[in-house]
Amino acid sequence: MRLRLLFAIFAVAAFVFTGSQAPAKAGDMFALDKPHTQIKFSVNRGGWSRVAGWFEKFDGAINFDQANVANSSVEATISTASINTGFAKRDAHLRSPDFFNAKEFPNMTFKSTKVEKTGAKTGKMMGNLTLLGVTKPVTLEVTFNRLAAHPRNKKTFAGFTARGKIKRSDYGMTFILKAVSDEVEIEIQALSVKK
Amino acid sequence: MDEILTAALINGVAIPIAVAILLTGAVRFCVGKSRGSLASGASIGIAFLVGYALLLTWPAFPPRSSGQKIAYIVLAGSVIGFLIDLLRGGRSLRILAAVIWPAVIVGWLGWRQLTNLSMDTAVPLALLWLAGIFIFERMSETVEKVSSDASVLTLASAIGASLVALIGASGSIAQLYGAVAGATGGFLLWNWPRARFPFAYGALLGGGGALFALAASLTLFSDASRLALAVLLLIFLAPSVARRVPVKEASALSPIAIGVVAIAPVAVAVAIALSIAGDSFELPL
Repeated sequence: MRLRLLFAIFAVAAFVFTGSQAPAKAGDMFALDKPHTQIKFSVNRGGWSRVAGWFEKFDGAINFDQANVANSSVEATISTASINTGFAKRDAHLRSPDFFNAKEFPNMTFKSTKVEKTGAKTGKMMGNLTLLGVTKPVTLEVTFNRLAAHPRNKKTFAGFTARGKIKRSDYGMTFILKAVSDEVEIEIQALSVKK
Repeated sequence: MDEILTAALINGVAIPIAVAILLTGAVRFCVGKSRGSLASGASIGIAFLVGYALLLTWPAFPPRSSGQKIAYIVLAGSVIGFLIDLLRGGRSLRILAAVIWPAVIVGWLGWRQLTNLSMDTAVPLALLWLAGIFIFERMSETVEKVSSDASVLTLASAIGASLVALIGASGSIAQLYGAVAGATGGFLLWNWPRARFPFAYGALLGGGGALFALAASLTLFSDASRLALAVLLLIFLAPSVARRVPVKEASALSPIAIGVVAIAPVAVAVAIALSIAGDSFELPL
């Protein structure tokens, strides 16, 4: 009797941990090649100029299906404290509760929900960006640059460029909206290596 | 950037002063002499919230960040306090308010630390709570007594904390402290040169709630000097020191004496914050 019960528990557990999971999308898994990936942003400062910056610490994975791009997906986590605009005082301010509130929200995340092919090498990636605890849909215009083996190490690399815009106020980042633009332009230069 | 500074002063200070003046008078005259006098202090929290909405826009519900939670803490504190004042809660609730309200504020703002509790997170949270008990206990001394003391303490500590926040920590919290100072200043104008209304539960949980919630946010999530913030706690001992000055407690000079005594800890706190911040005391954006 006990043996049957134990067997039943194992059977249920096996179903829960395997059978109930969504099937993995077809495609090749790529990891971000961090030294050659840049997650950049820029804002308009008071109408005078644009201030640009980037995030130094991040992690992410790409499931890329070249044959059927709609099967592709992306997940990324970015450390908000790793912001760098080339000016330490400004970076400290950007980490403060006025902007990224990095002590309270150390990470922001992006998870794609849909990919649409729009041209031979272009597409739209819809996804959810979670910043300051708020999750909002974001659309990125993606250009597929190249998929090829590296001539020396023979590893397969895929390169992409993604661009998009968000409104920081959508995420509750509302400090001095007149001085620092609400609209933030995002540019991602991603190099990823096949796992 | 003068336009931004002007907008911050109008939205964050001048308008809260005007709203507090109008609301205090409106509550007093609409609710009646006895209960209206007690409940009028809820105007501090509401005037602060008007300043908050003008400075940062009203936050979505449910709030996600500590900055957004502060608006709902002050709203809840003002409403609960207003109701306690209408029902004449009396001094029996004083200790309860002084112990539980800061625990609620620290608990909600520091929820992430509480759910990942370690010595590094537990000690600041516990110290914050103790500081909150001290602040609310001192401010609630005049919860049923017609006095300007608690208003002066709130005003002085809001100005001091605003300066500490501005020194390389957070411009938005500095502005919000300006709104606390403005709202309290509006209420204080009704109470000076003659004190008319007590700093009752509406004022204590709303205005005091704003003061403490901002301090908690500054301590937990910014680079503000914790030593400077701790020095600001000495402001709440100012009435005890001022009583040694030969001035009648109920006279128009009494709040001024408390304010003058409170200048010393503010000056020391600002000096500490400046010395720690070094040359990075200005917000560079």
